[in-house]
Amino acid sequence: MNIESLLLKFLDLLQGLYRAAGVNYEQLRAIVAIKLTMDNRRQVMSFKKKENQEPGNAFAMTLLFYSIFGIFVAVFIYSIPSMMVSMIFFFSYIMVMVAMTLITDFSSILLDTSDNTIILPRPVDGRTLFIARLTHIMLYLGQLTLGLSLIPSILVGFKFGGLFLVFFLIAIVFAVFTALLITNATYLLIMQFASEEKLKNVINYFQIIMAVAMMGGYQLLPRMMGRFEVEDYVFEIDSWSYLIPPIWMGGALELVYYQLFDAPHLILTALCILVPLGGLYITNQYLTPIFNKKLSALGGATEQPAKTKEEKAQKSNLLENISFRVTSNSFERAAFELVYKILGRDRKIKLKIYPAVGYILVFGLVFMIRGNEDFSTLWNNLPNTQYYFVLIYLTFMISQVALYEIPYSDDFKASWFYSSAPVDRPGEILSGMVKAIFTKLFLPIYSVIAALILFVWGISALDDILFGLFNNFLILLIIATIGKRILPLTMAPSAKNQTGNFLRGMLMLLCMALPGGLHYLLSKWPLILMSMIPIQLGAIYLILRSYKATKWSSIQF
Amino acid sequence: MSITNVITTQDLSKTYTTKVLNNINLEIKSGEIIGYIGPNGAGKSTTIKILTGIIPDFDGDATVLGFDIRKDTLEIKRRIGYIPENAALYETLTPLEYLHFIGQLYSLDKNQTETKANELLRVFELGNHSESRMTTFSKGMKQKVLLIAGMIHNPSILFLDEPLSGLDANAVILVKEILTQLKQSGKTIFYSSHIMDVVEKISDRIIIINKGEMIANGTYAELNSQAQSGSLEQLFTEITGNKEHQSAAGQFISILENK
Repeated sequence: MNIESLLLKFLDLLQGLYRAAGVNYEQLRAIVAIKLTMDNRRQVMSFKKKENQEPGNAFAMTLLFYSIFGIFVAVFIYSIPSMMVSMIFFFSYIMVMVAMTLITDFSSILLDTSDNTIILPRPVDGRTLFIARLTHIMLYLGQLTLGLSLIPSILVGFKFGGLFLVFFLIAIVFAVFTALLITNATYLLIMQFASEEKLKNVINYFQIIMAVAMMGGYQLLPRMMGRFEVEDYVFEIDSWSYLIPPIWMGGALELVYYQLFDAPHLILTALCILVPLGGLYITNQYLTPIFNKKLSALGGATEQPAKTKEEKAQKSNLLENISFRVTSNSFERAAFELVYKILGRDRKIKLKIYPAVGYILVFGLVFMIRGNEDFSTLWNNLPNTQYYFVLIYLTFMISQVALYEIPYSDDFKASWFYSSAPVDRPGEILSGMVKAIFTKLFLPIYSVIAALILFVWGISALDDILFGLFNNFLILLIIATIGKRILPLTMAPSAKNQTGNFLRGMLMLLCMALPGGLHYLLSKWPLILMSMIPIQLGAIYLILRSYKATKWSSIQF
Repeated sequence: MSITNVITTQDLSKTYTTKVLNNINLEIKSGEIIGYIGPNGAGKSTTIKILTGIIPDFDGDATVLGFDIRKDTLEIKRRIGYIPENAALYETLTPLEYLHFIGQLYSLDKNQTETKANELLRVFELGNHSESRMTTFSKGMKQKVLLIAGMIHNPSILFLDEPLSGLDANAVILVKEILTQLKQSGKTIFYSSHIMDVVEKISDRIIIINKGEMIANGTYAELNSQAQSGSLEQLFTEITGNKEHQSAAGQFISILENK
């Protein structure tokens, strides 16, 4: 029996509940079954397996992956003596993971408009469709939660006893429902005031922030952990505690374990039970019709007011001005303007590239935090260090990620015009692409970094900032030259080839290290550093000329 | 109660930020083929989406098969078929899986659906592809699956929104013939299309809509006698007020050449 049928059998057990909620269970089952099948096939595709192969052990893999996460959580909560603190930590973790998964993985499913034309014209009522969508999501979240809480549950049972474990498991179910309801309600609220496009933008930026937060948390939390004495931490219920859902769960479990029937614990327990149950009732009775109404409007006429002619003209004038100054002919200009616009508009590309901005911040902090010095000591000592070198070259990360990602697009078929247009030297398109990456992404971030460096290290760092600026462009050009030459947005994302990347990566590292090392060596002599700038510019000119001369035979299609 | 008018609308209107449908009054009899035509953005798809219960918010009144669209949406959906403009399918499925799923939504018998789906796919020359995933299908192949999905439950009324887009010449002829024979078996067909030739040949009545308003309603002969046109294409151009094609084409060429 595969996992799909197992999950459907589980649903069959709950069919009485569904029918009581006014759902057509047969239709719901059919919709959930088809969505599970499609999920499995999407997973297969993303793992690049054979097309018609079903991933029999996808469930086991997911469970294993999340269980490994769960081990760390379990060890951590086991080591905290305060039961309330450990529970708050655990439920925060579960709820954040659930909300994050919902937003990052399930936004497209929750807001999928293909159901409007496929399912909505059939005799399926709105409630059945909405609950089917929720069930589909809940089944996935169930797997996630099972994985995350498996090991912690065993340890909780061991530490606090079997009866407590039962309450603990119930609290997990409530926590998942609460996270789901909060996310849904937030979506509804946004949909009430914003157009479909705006909602998608909000989700896009949220996804970017989440990607950075994950990375940041992974890098920074272990470093910061040692600075807090979790062992001595005792939680006291305050007025704001009633606003934070994980504290409801923690409070309810503390009530059960220590038999604390005082007002704060009773209120927290009531919130823990009533919010998810009441939320479910409100969702079923009132929110479902609103959600369906809003959903049927998605993909229809956009109600977003168009930008005024003046706004559009201002933007396009600015872009034209920039592109006229930095490009030398119409091919290069066309590529520059295309890539410049795409980098600002394409949500999928933004999702791949923009987290790098956050990584710069995260790594900036990671490299700074060493030993057990506190933040104020670190900050005060900063002017006495040469840490600005790290900042100058960390910024390169955004250019490198963009250079790697910009050739790939889901709309790669739209690149037919490269073949049909009379492009003699595709290198000009490549150079337009590199210049757009540098102008649109690198320069604004570098400006902020430069301002920060001037603020901390003073005007004496100006020569380093200037030399670093040209060095960064030089490194970008060298890496573009030795890398695969692919025109922007011409390849399917699935065509990303990992083979041969190690040697190329080492070579790129060397290309970064040499100019960076030279900068470090020369930084003691500002005059020599400044006099090297013309040499840098000469090198940039020569490499750019050779890059522009790239022929069709060197382009990968 | 015998139903003569299977579709009626009274002052049917729809507003997004602007009014896209304005007081449309329809009376469509059982067994009629209605050609519903109009320029892009005229309100054709919006009318169809309201009549099929996909768009729930609208002004005015509408009934289909005697059922009120607002109150009895599910009853209507059980009895009608809808073929949308874009080939919206779950493409990771095979046609058989997809049609089986659609059958489940109409509570059709599993075995009957499968037999029917296999036979219908064979008629549309998709028999060899019934177990292949639709991700690799051409636009025309997807459109054929969509046509079958819209009719597999044998509906009394069929709403078709640009059903011929992407089909090859043979498939177009086949669909035309299917529609004609469906009419003979008493089905009502509400047919929206840009392909005037087909509309002219199969429709009992033609309704022309422009900027959300109904501007013509009658048989081809009636409309033609009013407008003194040679073909539906010319009639359409005259009625919708877009007579300037020749001069627009001239402008287009002169702009191209000046550049």
